[in-house]
Amino acid sequence: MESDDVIEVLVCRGTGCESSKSDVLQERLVEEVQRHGLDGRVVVKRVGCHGLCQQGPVIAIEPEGLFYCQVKESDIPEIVESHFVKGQPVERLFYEAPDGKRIPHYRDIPFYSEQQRVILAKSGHIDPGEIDDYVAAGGYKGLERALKEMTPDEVVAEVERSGLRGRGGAGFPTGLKWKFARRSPGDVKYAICNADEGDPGAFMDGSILIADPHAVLEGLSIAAYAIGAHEAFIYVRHEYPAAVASLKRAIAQSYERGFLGKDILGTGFDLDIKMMEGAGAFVCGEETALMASIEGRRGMPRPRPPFPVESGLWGKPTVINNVKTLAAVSLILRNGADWFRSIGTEGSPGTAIFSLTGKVRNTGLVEVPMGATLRHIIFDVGGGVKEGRKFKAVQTGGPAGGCLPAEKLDLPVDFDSLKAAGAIMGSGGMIVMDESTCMVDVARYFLSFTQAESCGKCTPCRVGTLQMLRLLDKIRSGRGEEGDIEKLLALCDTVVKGSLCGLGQNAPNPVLTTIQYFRDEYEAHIRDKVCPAMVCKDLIKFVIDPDKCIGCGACARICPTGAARGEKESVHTIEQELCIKCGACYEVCPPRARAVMKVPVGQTLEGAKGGAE
Amino acid sequence: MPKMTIDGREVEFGPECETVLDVARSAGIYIPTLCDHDELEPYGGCRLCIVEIEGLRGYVPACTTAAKDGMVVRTATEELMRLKKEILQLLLIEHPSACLVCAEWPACLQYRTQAYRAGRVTGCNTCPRRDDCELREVVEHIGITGLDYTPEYRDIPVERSDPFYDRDYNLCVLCARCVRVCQEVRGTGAITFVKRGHETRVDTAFGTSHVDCGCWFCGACIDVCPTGALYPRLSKWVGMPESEEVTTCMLCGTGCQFRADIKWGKVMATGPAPPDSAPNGRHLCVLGRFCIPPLVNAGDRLRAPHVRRDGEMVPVSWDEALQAVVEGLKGVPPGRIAVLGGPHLTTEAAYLLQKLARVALGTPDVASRGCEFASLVYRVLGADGALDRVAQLEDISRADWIVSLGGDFVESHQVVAKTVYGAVRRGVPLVHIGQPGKNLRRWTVEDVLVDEPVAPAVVRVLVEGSGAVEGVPEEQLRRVIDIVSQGRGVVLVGPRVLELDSPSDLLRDVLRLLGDDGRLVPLFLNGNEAGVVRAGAVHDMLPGPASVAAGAASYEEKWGRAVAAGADLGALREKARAGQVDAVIVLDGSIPVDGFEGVPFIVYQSPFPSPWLEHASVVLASAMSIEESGTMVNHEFREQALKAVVPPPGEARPDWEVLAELARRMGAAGFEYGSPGEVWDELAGLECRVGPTDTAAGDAWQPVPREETEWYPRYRGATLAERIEDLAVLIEALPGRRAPPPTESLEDMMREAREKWAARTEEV
Repeated sequence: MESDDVIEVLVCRGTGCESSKSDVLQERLVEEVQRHGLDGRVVVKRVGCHGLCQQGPVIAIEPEGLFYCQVKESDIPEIVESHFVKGQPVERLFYEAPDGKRIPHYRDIPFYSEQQRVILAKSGHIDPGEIDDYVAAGGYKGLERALKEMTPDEVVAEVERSGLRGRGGAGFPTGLKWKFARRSPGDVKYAICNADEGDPGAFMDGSILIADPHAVLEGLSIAAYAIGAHEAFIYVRHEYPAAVASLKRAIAQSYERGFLGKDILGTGFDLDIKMMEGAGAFVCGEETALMASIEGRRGMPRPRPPFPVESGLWGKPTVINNVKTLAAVSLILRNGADWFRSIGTEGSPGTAIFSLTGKVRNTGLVEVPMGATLRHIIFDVGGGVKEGRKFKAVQTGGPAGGCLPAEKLDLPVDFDSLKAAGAIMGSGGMIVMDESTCMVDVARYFLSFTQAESCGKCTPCRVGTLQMLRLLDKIRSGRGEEGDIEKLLALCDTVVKGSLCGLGQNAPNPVLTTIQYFRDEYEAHIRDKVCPAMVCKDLIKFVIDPDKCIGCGACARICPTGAARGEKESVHTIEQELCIKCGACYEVCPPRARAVMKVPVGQTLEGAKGGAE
Repeated sequence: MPKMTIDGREVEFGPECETVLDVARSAGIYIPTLCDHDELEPYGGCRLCIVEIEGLRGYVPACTTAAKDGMVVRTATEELMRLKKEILQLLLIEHPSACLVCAEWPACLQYRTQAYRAGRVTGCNTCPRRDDCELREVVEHIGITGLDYTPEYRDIPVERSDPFYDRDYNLCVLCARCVRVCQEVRGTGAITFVKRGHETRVDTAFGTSHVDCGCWFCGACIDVCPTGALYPRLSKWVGMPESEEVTTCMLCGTGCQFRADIKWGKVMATGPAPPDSAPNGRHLCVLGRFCIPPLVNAGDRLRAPHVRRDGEMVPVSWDEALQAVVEGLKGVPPGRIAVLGGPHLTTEAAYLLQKLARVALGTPDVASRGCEFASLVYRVLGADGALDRVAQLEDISRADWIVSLGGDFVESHQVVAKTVYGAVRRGVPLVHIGQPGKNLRRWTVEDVLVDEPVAPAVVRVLVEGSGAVEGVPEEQLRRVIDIVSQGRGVVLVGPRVLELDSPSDLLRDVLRLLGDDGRLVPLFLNGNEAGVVRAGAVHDMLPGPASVAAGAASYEEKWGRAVAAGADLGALREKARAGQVDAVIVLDGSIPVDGFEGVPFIVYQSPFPSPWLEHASVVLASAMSIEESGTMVNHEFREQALKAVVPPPGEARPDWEVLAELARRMGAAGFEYGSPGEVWDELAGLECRVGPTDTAAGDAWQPVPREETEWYPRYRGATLAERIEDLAVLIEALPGRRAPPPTESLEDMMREAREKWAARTEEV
């Protein structure tokens, strides 16, 4: 390391790392750096999400590209002392590959090397609170090009040529949307950024807003210019306080630097961007509900047509784009449509961003070219299923998406192929499930979410989803009857065809796909009253294998009802009458014993063991 | 003409058909709907009107899909009907539906003639809307014979704690008509959807009571509800009426048309008249919607004539009673008789009242309570030949700008308010000069926050296009001047202008502000103010109305008696106090007795008891407005027909009949009328004759005390809030509502709401 190089210490302050106290790490780093008199030579920076949330809190050291994982407060003095003073990086904090080898540079970690980070390129590498960082990284070049060198029509044409499709889930061609809005008559038009990311397990939009807010503001400004709007809104969910703060700061800085306000960049173009916080309703991610919410009404969707591009916010032509779409727009305007087309597939150019969660080794924020296979995302980037378990299914597209089984792992991921398989791209949630997951339970979980978040306006969604939930509960609790699957399918059909908005139309997807791909599991619940994954509480019981019990008493100590009992150092038992099936004994039973077992309700321990063999 | 094909039929449609549903209806093709309502914007919530349209993906609701030329629509394919059946079944999961899908239903209908009383509605047989339920119509059309799913009773407590109507949201199908009519049409926004998912339901903000949330109890929500979820408490179990009649409400100056539901010879409920009724269409206010039956059917109505004998009131025959009046008046010099009317007389009765006074009794002293505003408008506008500048309510809809002053009209004139809100919703700017209440504040683009006495100065500035008013920001005045300088305006003048020292000057300024195209809406507070003035039943006006100066000669010729201006109510009271009045005939019990106690001979003629009873020598029981026919003149100067839809109680008789007979018995000529129509014929041809010189009356103007100009509905001795407890609850909540919000900050409001809530829960 050359001694005159400035060392940049990039502390991830994304949600995951921040919740593991990365804010404290940053404070400690600054203190230590000062204590060692390294100010000026070592710069500690607050950055957004690096993506590899599993390993958080993470710290990247530039320009070397070194990457420290799971850093604790107590590691800070060592890092400063050893690395910054003595020039010896702390090896034990490097990323540990599955084979036990330490990988010092993030570019060599498969999680990163298997990705193509385009939209996320700046995330984790620039300080989101400093507009200069963004500008230095080439930011606002796209806006400058649009405003200074292109007419609005040319901007629309460029985006159209890029083939960019809306990243909010439906995949509608962005350029076409803009063209419609531009052509719609009227002096007053609006551009809206939809940042109401509400899917459980999805954090892409929030992460981008925290890590790279200016990319979104730039895209929104370009969109406004293209359609002829002078007022734009960002509708961000209230439950993202960090994103709200980041946006507030970014908007203020943009005004200060003349990227917003009157006469932007001296081109005579005026634009005001206002931020609007949602009030916690999932359905406000639906564009018509979102507009109703901005207007101050209850967020409830209305039928389309008329589409927002004709009659949107306050009845004026309105374009609504997702955070990722707008971030992509900034890049398209900077690098050109051809560059964008060179990434991804013919029908879906560009990259796809997923928040990879569930039973996968590397949970985090992932960006791959469109057309990458599920296998690539889950196994190459994600490092495969956790704890060496078997992959069972992956849910894409959030609660209204679908569950795809192992047979679909080689499916190239883009808007059309996912749809054909029964799932959806959605806004980009991807939840990996292993063999310990019950698909009926999963379907019920997702449905319970969409059901509770239905706005209540249209009958099929409000009542239909509840009926589906009731049926799933019935099946899950072992009261399922022949014909229930058909009833479920019929209800799904009614809800899909009869619902007003995308929430209802897609809510049955988890049920439909789990029935399509895992029908045998449903049948096992209904016919055999067995939950093959041993998840559904009403269909299992906990018993202690006397041959294995070592009499440690852990189960008896944790049991909340006194069902698990036994003399010290002798075989324990579980009193079924008292057992509430909380599973605590199962969790605490020491791995060397593994005496507590889940057994189908109707079977004895011997029967279950026999069955297993 | 554009065409579309619906179910194989080619249908032409005009521009009045905006949606596919409109086209289908125009062609007589029935598509079941629940959330659609012709007064409301398309909603697309119930999903029962879904249709298939070639070229459109999936199934689209007919109610929200714009009709286009060449569309090919199918409304009842097998798949569609299956879907509709499923969707309807889903609806019926939440709605008590046992009766709806019961095979015994037709027999039930035959043998159980009306719904039976029950604390909870569990099926059609316990539902107040049993006989005219829209949901059942839809069920019958789509054809549901059983439920494939387990019904789920929502078990929401029935809300009974608010005035006038009950809410049982267990019956609600969430069509949102009530929410929408409250927001879109009435502009009140008292109710909304709360919660999400299957817990979604209609409620007020933060679950406050309806009184606290700004509800005006106009009943529009009830009238649009397709189920029995909302129902007036009083008529809940009455069942279907035997007959329905449309007549005019006399409880304020708007003169709304309403439907009286009649059963067992009584008016059991009132509701909206047919949609094309002028001026109010299907809309009423709390008075017309809820207050008429309790008023008409009050137990203390005067049912027979009485005469005081030895200090006791004794019921007598009409013959005896009228004879007693004739006897009592005999020998009283004309100058010592006072005849007192009020604004709730029919125009015909008022005409006969003054004719009785001026012709039969020969006294000029005929005066009426509560007619000052109409008298003022006739005088000021009549003198300018500007009576045609009084607005019809449609003028409000056509206005380019609206200014209101003289009090918050949302409080006193809800039907006018509804019309104004319609304009406001279309973007017509509304400016209020004065202190607006909660609702009005939301509608206005500018609130010129001044106290009533300053309003004339503001109007003067608007007329002149420049100037300043203390306490009003210059910038705001400029904005308002901008607004009123463009296009056709409408100015609503509320009764509180009567508190001013010179309201006539203000009216003249308003006329100048309006120019030739603009229109004035005088908001008369009392039923037939305009009709009573037109009939000449006021001290200084003759029928027409004609000023005494302009009309005396012709009436002297016609009646053969000298005609002169009399004393007004205040002067008569002083005269009586001074012992210069020997006899009083009073037809309005709302006139305070004060001063008249010592008059030796008092004839009290009214449908309701009042403090006058204690002092009266003869009591004549008269009919109420819905028991007698006649004419009411509203604040548009529109002549509204009053119809006798129910007989008066006991032996009570219509005023016109009593007055005419009394005059005949006193030997006066010209009182031979067979019906109120004949009285009207005599009155109808008269012209308004008020000359510029007659406006001198303005100089003698006595400002009306504030209580008289406030919304506190009365009817001939009956104070509605004293008789109708529910109305009292609403009125008591008003002063707080009228006060402007304590602060502008949301945080403070939230804090206050929390404190209030905490206090409430502590009480519990």
